[in-house]
Amino acid sequence: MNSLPNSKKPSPGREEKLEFRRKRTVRSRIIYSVSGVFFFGLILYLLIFLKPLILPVVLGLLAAYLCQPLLSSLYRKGVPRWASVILLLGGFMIFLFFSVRYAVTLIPGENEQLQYRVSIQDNINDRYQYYMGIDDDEEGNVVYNLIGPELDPLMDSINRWLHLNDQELESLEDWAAGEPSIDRQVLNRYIENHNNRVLYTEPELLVSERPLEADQDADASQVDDEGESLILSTLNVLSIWLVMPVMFLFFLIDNGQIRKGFISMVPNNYFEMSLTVLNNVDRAIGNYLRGTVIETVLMSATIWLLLVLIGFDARIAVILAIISGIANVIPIFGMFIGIAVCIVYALIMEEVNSILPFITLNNLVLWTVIVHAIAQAIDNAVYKPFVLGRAVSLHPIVVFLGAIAGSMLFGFIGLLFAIPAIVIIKEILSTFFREMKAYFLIY
Amino acid sequence: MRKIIHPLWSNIFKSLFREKEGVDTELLGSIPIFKNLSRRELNIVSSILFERHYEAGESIFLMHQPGAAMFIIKTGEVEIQLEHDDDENLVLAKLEPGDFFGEIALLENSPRSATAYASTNTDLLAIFRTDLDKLIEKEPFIAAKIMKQLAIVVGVRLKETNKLFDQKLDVDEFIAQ
Repeated sequence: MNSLPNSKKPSPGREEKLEFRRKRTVRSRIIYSVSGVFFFGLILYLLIFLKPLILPVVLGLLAAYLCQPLLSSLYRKGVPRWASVILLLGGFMIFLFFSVRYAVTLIPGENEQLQYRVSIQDNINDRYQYYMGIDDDEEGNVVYNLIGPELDPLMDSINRWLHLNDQELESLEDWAAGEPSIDRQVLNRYIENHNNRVLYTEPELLVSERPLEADQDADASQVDDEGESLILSTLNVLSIWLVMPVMFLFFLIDNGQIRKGFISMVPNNYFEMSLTVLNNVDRAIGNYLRGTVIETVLMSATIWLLLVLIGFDARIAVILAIISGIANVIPIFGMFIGIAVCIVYALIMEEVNSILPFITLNNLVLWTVIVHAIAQAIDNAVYKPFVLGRAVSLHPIVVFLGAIAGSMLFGFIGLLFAIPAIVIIKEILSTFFREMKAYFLIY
Repeated sequence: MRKIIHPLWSNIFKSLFREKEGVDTELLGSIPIFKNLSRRELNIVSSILFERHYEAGESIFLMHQPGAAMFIIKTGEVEIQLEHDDDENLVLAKLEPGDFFGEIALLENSPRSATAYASTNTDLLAIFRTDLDKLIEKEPFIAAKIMKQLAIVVGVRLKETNKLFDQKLDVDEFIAQ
């Protein structure tokens, strides 16, 4: 019977063993480097081509991450893990459902949009003329003489954008006739002003162009196409956003398997260090993210309360306060986004329902700025020290460049997530290098 | 007729099965610090254990490195050595399957007092301090049993060290006399 050819070979000596180990080390390095480059290339590719999925995935993971302490607390109280997961998922879905439903109720219908366009145009021009001191002979105050030539073209383009054509005007009037809730007197005034609107740069009336018959047909078919594409795009958006609860569920179900899988890939030299880094990063980021979410909720509540106090509509103030609270995540510059959004709404408001008698439509913009200043003072004096603990020390230049880079890459969402992403990366790198030194892996 | 499955699929199923199977609870139950735990409790403990493989001569941890995990020997042998300024290291102990080392790391964040090497190809189980801390919060009864046994083992090792120290003192006094 033939024996295996290797069985007669003498056992390898010390030199051969060392050579074998050296070759294995070189081979391992090559394979790990190539697969590392491939892996990061793949991640980059996915980030670029699956960009629409990033936000639902990140939000799902973030929500699950924030819910982890809640999950542990339920488990400690004797609720089985599966029941806690179902409970949290149910809560998450109910929250999503009511948020979407609330957002949908705030979206105006087609005719309401026309009404808003007319009223917004009237209010914004009234406010502009008041602040610039423009009277009938178009003299204007000092401010107008200084920046008027720059602002007039902007106002004209806003007017052109808001202006209704004859067909839209007709449709608005027909709809308003059957709506008892609409104040006809006010609407007629708006429509009259709308029809007599004169451009600031050119002394001419804004003339509506009635579309030709052929164009009307083309428009009608386009509306059909738009209707179809609207359904398709809605379904598309829905299918993408379905990823969010799925990610939430998977991350919540995970009982340390992701961490174990990651650690199993780490070489022995880095085993304890990796566990320590993961633990420290998890603790630091967890504290930061949970603190940031609590701060955002507190800031939104504060701004909402103050906006309602100065006469904003409570329902719209919810949206404005949430935008301002979320924008506040961006240090220094975020505040201005909140102020800008609230000022834009203050400029188009029709009436002020403030309990403070001295607040009028004409000084509402000033009060909006004061509200944000008060909210910022409360945030810096109370919320940040108590909620965030230690301040996240990012240099303003890093904040500025990070926010710009984030917005260039992923738009408004990139702008919001840039700073938390920078904080997380900074925490990972600083912990990683600190532990590498502690474990004598680098100098 | 026996169904032949492609090796690739069989590997995938094996790895899936292994993931669920976790660490051998019988082995865990034979280790002193886990000996009072029931099978269900051992299963919970096994979910926080990490399995590592070390080649002969590979270091597991070095003296003065921060300690974050305790190791249990599944198969193979481990030498605990005290590093000296000269090249010669002092071998403090040779450990076998079922033995564990680095247990102080579970109690506090202090540097390692000795170096551990795998003297043969060795499979180890590691338990991380923070995971034990979380276990204390989530499963206080299990954690209390582990901590009690850990305290007993540390006490026994301290007594043995004292005994050795006494013997050495006696020998030194005898030589001096």
